[in-house]
Amino acid sequence: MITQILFGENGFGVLTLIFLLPILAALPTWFIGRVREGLARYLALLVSLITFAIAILVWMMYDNNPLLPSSLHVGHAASGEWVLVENIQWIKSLGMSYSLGIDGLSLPLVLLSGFVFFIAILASFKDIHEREPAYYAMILLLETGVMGTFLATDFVIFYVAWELVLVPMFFLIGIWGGPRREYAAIYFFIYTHVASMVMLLGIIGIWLESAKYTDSGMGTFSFSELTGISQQFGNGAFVLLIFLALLFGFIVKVPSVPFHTWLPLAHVEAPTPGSMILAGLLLKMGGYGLMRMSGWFLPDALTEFAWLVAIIGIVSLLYGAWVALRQVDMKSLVAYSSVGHMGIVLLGVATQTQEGFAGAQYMQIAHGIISPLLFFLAGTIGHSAHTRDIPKLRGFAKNMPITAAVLVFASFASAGLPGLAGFWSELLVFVALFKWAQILAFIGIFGIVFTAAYYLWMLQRTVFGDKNPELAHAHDVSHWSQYAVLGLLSLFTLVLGLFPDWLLKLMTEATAFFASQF
Amino acid sequence: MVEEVVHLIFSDFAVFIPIIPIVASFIVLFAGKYVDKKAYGNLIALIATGASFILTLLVSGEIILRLLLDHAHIEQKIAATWFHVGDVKIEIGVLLDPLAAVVSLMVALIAFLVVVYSRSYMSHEGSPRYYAEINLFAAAMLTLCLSPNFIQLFVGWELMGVCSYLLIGYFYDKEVVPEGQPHPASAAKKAFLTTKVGDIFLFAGIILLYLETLNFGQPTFDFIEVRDLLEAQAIHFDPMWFVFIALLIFGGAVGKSAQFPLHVWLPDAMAGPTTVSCLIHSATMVKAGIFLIARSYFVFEFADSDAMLIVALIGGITAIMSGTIALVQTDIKGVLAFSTISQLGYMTIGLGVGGMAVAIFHVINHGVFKALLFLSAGSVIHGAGTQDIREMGGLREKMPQTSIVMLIGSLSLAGIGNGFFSKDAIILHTLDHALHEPLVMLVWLSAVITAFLTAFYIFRLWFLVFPGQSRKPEHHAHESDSWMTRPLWTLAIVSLVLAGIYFLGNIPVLNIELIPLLNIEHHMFEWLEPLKPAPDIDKGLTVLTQLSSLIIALCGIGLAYIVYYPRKNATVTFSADGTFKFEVSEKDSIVGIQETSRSVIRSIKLTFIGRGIQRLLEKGYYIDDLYLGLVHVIYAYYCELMNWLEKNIFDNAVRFTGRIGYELCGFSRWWDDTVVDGLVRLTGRASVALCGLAKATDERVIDHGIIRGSAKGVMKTGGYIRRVQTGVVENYALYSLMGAITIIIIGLFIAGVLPL
Repeated sequence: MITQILFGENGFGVLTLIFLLPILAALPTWFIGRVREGLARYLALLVSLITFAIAILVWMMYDNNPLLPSSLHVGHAASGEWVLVENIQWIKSLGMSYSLGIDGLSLPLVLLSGFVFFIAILASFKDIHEREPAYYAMILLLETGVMGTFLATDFVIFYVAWELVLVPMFFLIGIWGGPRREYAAIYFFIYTHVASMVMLLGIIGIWLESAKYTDSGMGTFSFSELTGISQQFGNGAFVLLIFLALLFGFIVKVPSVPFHTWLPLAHVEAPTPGSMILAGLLLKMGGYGLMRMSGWFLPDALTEFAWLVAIIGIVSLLYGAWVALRQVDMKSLVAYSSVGHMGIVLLGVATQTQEGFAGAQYMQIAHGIISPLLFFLAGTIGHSAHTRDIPKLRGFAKNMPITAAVLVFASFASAGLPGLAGFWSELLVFVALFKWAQILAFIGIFGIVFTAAYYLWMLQRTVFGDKNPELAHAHDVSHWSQYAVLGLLSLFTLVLGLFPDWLLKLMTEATAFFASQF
Repeated sequence: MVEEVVHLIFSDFAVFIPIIPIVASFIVLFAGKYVDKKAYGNLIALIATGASFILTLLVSGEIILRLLLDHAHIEQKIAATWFHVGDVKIEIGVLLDPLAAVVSLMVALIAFLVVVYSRSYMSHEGSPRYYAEINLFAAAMLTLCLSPNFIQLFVGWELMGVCSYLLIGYFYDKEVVPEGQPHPASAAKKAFLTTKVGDIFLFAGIILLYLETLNFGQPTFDFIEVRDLLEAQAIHFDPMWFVFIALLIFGGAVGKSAQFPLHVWLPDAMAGPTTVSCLIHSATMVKAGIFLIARSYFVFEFADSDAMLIVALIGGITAIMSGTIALVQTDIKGVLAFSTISQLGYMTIGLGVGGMAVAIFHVINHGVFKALLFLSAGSVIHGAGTQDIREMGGLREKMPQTSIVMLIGSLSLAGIGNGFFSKDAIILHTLDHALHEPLVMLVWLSAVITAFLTAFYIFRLWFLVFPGQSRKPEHHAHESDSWMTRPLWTLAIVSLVLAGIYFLGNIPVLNIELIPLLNIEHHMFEWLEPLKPAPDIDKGLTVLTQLSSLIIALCGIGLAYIVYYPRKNATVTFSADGTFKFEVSEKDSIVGIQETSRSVIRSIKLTFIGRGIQRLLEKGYYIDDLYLGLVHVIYAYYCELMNWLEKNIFDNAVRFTGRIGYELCGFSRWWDDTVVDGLVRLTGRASVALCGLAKATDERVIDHGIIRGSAKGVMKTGGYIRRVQTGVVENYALYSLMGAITIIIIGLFIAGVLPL
């Protein structure tokens, strides 16, 4: 009975639960919040915790964990195949179906999403007091969108989930944001929506093109069918055009220079938990799309355009660091650091090797944990000191020792200190990059120095030095939820740094498949 | 027989050598203030470093004993796979060989003594943070020393960078900084970033070396495997490419070991507590660079000889440059800092002229005497309340123990104690090497001049601090307590014992081995470079060099005595023109010589060139200012330009696109309003006319009641719907949410999943 439900033998399975549980819980959360204001947050926390727990269950099933009864094991997943697949015909004539599945590429991101949403809801406890019921309902709606993007194995579901993300994020920025929230929300919405439109063109293009190669002679949106014919796409002009259209959609989301301007604005204006989700997960959707497209559907086109992806990556890496050096707002600095770090993801994918891909995916996860930590710190500091301006925060370590200590830790983690999460991805990506394009790699490693430079320069001007008398009222973290957020994120940063094998083992099958496509 | 008696019993515990201090550092950080309230958790740190030291003593002691008695070739790797992706396989563990044994023993000893010393020295300023960081620092160095592969070495290497950052910036909230000294936070940042520049070269070097092994089909980061591969398959590799790789690796060492041109961070690093300076200068951090080269020496040996030549030249430049700067320092830690750089220059020379063993030999000796000097300096600072030698003097009566141990350390640095043997070995090898490579002659010259300078500046320091009368009697200097003096005596005794062993093993001047077992210098070659034949250097040359080194050292000390020793209770004052003035009440012949030489020196100093040189040295050859200017240009102009681009070009491009879209919409609107709407209206008019025609018919056919009724219905519905239009954004959000859910449910119905 349980196995039938979990494996989706009756149509719906465990992945649908992950996908739909948050959205179905969104309305009750809202209504309960309307009745008793304080309850919404606990219900939302509970729902996100359950979702995360189910994600962990999926991980254990995927991993054939001995703790589970063997009837729940998915067995050995074939290379390039999805497991726990749920496939229901939706619109037959278009080759479109409700289809979810999981593989070595999406599973780490699903786990990350479950975790980051749980953390983001915890992080809202202290800060968000305005219209709580609506807020938590929005967060849960957002969770469905993010989970759907990673779980979908059909381009239509993927696109719907991708677009669904925009709506709650628009409201999160527009209602609970900073002083320029309306401008930022609209800027964010229009910018990313335009990119999605271009991506949609790409999706339609791939549907048209696939008709040439499928057995039935019809176009398909199905990921597994597309993967099956990925080697036949070749690199004709139309395929390259599709690649560019999809690439545009993804790198706006990543975001990469020169399409990154929405990010600092959205981050600065978004509420702190919104920034955490934005940096932790929404950027990863772009990276995920890029990896899925280039490794699973259009490998030959990536080979053709690898130079473009690599150049965008390296420019993002260096340019992000240079601009970050001059930022005054702490959140803005972290936002530009995200641009730089996501550049490493692009570099890793561009190398078309196992090491590069593993490094890129490792960076996605590591950045997905470290950047929420940094944004949470920036938000907490802003809340407590009433300013996030770096020059005004001189010497805040005196008043806020715990925040200061974790900020130092997180900065080093983000700068790629060995033993913490970020380093392994840098190592793997640069190993692949030195193998692939030595000149580019030599330019790229200077990005590491600049990254260290802007973090240390920020630390020197904020944490250290004699105290700014204006900060007399600032107080350290005190609420249990704040301790929990800082503790959990720091812990995972450390664990990922010390035991990289846990994560790398999860993606073995995906990395091997990625490399075999070239 | 011996083989059976001495197994590698303790080696199984070697993994705990770095693990103990790492675990302890976390315990201290979180629980330190509860366990050991008075000393901020010093006790835990003490036990951890102590345990680590004892373990190292057992492991290394066993290895050294086996080497001595058994002449065994020891190379034992205990490792587990850390992770494995594609061709990249990374291991974690320990590699036990003579190099690791010797260096980690020194590191563990000094770390332990520093923690003991800190109990008193940091009794007011300590905190759990301090002890946690010290422990982590020591652990990082031990991880590096025991590492079996490049990646684990790099992990320890970077971790050490962070620990040094945190420790140099320990007094981060200092409000007043003495003039001419950097703020601790700024010094910490400088140290981290300067070494980071070197680190990325090392990072690139490691990866390129790995790719070479990958090209050959045996990808590995492991030291032993890479070395064996290079030795076995030498013909397949290009020595010129290895010059490049070797220099990249050397770049890392240049940063960490403070070689020219990345030496600028080390003098500033004295902004941290003296105990930290001691660790950085003697055991950890700067020694890591030399250790790295020694560890990857096979790369340098394989590479074309140009690589070694560059290493030696950089060493030579560093040695003489910092030796000269040390002459004009007035800060007790400043003198020692520049002397460290200069001694590191010696070690680099040693590496460059083909003697990894002599360099490591000097690493050990320098570690001992520099730790001794720094801890003595700490004791002086603690007792005298200042670190400016202009305000000291006459401390011998008040701090007798410190003065004696510091004398032992100074003698050793000057080249008379245990430092003599290793420094002399380096000079000797340089001279020997110069016979094949004429450029090395310059390096040799630098080494010899630096030997003289070293003896001079360290005794300048000692003579200005300890003898004579106090220049600031109001300071009430006092001897430090036993927590501080005991580590000092330990180090002093280690220094003397080492000197004794070396002496007995090899009477320097005559070059006779009394007890072969104690000829450590010879053993160093045998242990560290087992495959190379022992260097065959002419005996006459050896004796000559040893004699001349001794004479040079004595000359340096003598000159310092003449210029700076306050004979006959001379009163010393520091005058505004930057020189010390000596006033003597009674005179004898030596005082006469002193006065003449001082006046000669003063007249030289007052000339234009003299003043120029003085200024040049005080400014450290303006290298610091050059870098500062460069960084300023990058930060203030280049990055600002990028920021301007970001704020203006990129943002405006987006807005401009938006504007075009908006204008297009305006056009559509016009089109819509005039053309489309006009057509619609026209159609409407026509319909109205038609309707007028139909009206008459309609009125008769259609019931008035129905029309009225439906009109009312519409009115009512409108009334209900109007309430929905609240203008509250969250309500709209609710509707969109409900809409999304409805669509999903309807979709599910259509798909036939949910039964109707």
